[in-house]
Amino acid sequence: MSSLNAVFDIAKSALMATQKAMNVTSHNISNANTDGYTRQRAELTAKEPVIYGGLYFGTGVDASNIQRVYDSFNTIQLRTSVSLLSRHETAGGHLSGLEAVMNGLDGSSLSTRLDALFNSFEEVATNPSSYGERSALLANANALADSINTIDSGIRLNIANINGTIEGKVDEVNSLALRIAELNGQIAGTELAGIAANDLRDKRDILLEDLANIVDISVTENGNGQADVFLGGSFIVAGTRTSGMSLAADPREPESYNIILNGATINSRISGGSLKGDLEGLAYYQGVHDKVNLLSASLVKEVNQQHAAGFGLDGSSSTDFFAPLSVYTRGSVSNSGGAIVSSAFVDDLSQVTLDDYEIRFAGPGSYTVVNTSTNMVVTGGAYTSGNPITFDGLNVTIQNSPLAPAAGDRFTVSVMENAARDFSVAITDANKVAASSTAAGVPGDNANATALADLRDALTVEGATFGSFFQRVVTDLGTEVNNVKLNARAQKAYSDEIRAARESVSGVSLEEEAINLVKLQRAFEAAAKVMQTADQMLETLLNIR
Amino acid sequence: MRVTQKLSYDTYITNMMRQQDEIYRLHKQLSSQKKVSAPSDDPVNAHNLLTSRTLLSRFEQFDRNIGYGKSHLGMAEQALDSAKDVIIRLQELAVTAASGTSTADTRNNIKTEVDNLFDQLVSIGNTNYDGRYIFSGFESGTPAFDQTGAFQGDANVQSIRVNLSSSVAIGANGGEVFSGANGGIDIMAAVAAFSTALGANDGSGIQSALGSLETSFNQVSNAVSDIGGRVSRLNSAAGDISVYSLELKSTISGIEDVDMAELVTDLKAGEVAMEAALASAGRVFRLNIFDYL
Repeated sequence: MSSLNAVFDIAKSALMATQKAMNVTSHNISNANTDGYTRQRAELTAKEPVIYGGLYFGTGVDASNIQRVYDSFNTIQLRTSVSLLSRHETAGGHLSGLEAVMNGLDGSSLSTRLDALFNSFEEVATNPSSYGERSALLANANALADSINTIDSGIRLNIANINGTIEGKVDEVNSLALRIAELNGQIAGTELAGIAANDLRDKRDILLEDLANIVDISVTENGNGQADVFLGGSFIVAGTRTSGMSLAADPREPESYNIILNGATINSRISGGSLKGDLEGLAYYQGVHDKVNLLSASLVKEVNQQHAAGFGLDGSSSTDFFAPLSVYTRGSVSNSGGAIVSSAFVDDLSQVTLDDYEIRFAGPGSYTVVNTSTNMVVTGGAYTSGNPITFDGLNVTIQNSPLAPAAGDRFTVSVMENAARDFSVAITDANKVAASSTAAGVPGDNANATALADLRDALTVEGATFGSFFQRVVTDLGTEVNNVKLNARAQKAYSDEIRAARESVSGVSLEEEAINLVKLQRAFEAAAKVMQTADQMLETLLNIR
Repeated sequence: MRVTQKLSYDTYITNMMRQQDEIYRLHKQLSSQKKVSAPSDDPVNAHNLLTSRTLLSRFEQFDRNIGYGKSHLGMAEQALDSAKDVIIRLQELAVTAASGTSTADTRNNIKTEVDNLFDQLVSIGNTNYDGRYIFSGFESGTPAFDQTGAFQGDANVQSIRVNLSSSVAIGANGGEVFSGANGGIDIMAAVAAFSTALGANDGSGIQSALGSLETSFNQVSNAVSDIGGRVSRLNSAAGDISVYSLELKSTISGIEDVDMAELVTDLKAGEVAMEAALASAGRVFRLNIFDYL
């Protein structure tokens, strides 16, 4: 079979293969700066030889395959580190935002205003009969109230924003899952036909990385080349099928979402991605919000109690300095009975604990009151519609509307819930500031003003003074912000390394491609020369007469 | 390691951003003159900073309290000093009236002056400062003495905070100093008795007035030195406060104020690193295989 015709075929195969390789090289060059592109390589193999006259003769070259230069372990590493990085960066963003809301070190911070309030009480103690000092006290108290209200509204706004972000992310996860499933279908279809679906795989890797950016996933490739994606142990993409992620309100915490996948709540199983960062930020916001509420409620409780004991310049007594604590109640969303809370108020401020409570119904006729902070049963008894339930200084009335409560129904009772939002100064007339401790002591008695000023040193909030409690909150927050920033920086360095490693393996080197270009050009020229030479030889043969 | 163009560009951008971030941070410190603007900038010292500031604001308040207390005590001291002068004059008059040469007529003349001095004592007892009768106790809205010299206030003295643990009474109680409420002599009554004795030309009454005026003088004099003692207590408290405040201010400044020399050096170093990065990038990007093929 060794014939000149065969040489033609061999030269032809070389021309064809070189053109194919050229095609791949130019594809590489054009995608040198495309994100997520994996360089490709034309695999050239020698064609099957033929035996002729007892000898093996080669039959030329074939571009048998176009391969991605790809390290699958590196891709998995990259995905994991992207999840962690976006988690830390997102949480860091939220915590920095919270730090800005708390405004801890600024001259107008809550800490400064607390100092100013107590300094004002002392100022009134110095000059109890003077109107000026009293009116300055009210101004400082109002400034403190503004500060607390601003922090509260800032926290509430940001909590709402984070929840909005979570909603958006869940939509994005679902749409990414759909597109991944669609690509799974296309890749399986292409590769069943024996063709490597290189660019489709690149596209899928980009989508998977986008998904990992939002939530940590694990990916396994099945026999058809389809990527199955699992999230917290539960599948979100299986081949060409997807499972939708959804949100439901948390019955315990109305400001939080439960993230639901395949019928289960997976909040605690999410450990990476910006969604985790959002959940962490949310938890921190709620924790700090609770502390600000606790501080506000304690201020109202302690200052009002002491203030009510004294006498104003006009002889008034039992006056509220700050607006009294309101009692917040909420029926659980899973309540099946028909009872509602018709009234709730503070009976005896001195007995109020600032803990949260739950009134739980064992049936339509009996209830127990549980302190959810200590998990102790406070009281309980037979339920009569409209009869007030009193415990720890609170008075709550539940009545049938018109149906009775059902077994398992719960009502949350809290004086803290809105304490920061509702924090305001009740006194408007400076003469009612109770500086005197006795009715007869007016106007020169400063004992009650001194007692009010001394509250700054009383260990009233979780074993700390008002000032040091707030400072602790701010400092803890600062430490946390710093930690998260350090984590994010370390993770950024690590993922930059992995990205560099990926780029090193799969990135397009223009030098390499330029040399390939020259190499292929020379090969093409040589093959053409073979063809020309064979042609001349054939012509020589044909010219033999 | 295989180095691609994209890798060098990306690395260059990352490093550039890091340098710029560092320079931005230093510039921010330079313009605000503060190296700590949020607790997270220095969590370890943030708590110290906050407690120092709170303490400083309390010391400033103590300083204001002391200032007020000193002017209050100064006012009381001045009033009691004039009361002493009045009593000395009364003693001189008593000595003159008691001498054997005094007649009923001269004693009557002296009585006129004594009555005036009595009124003066009452008005000293009713000294008013900043709208408050300083000798009335807590009844600071009521004059301490009526026209007859009877005390109308109560037995209290106002105290103010001067440091974290102690208070100082910032005045004297009229009932105690003038009316002898705590076992002393009722000066007003003594002067009134002296006046009566003069009017009645009562020699032995005048003699006993000599004794009671002596006791009165001592009583007021004791009150004055008592006030003097408290003023010096306030002064030493103020001295302590200025020392503590200075210390706190230097602590606060040490935590939050920038060290200019260090900052400028760091900034210079950052700029040099930035220039080096720019220069190296320029060189690397000029290398191009297509120039050689």
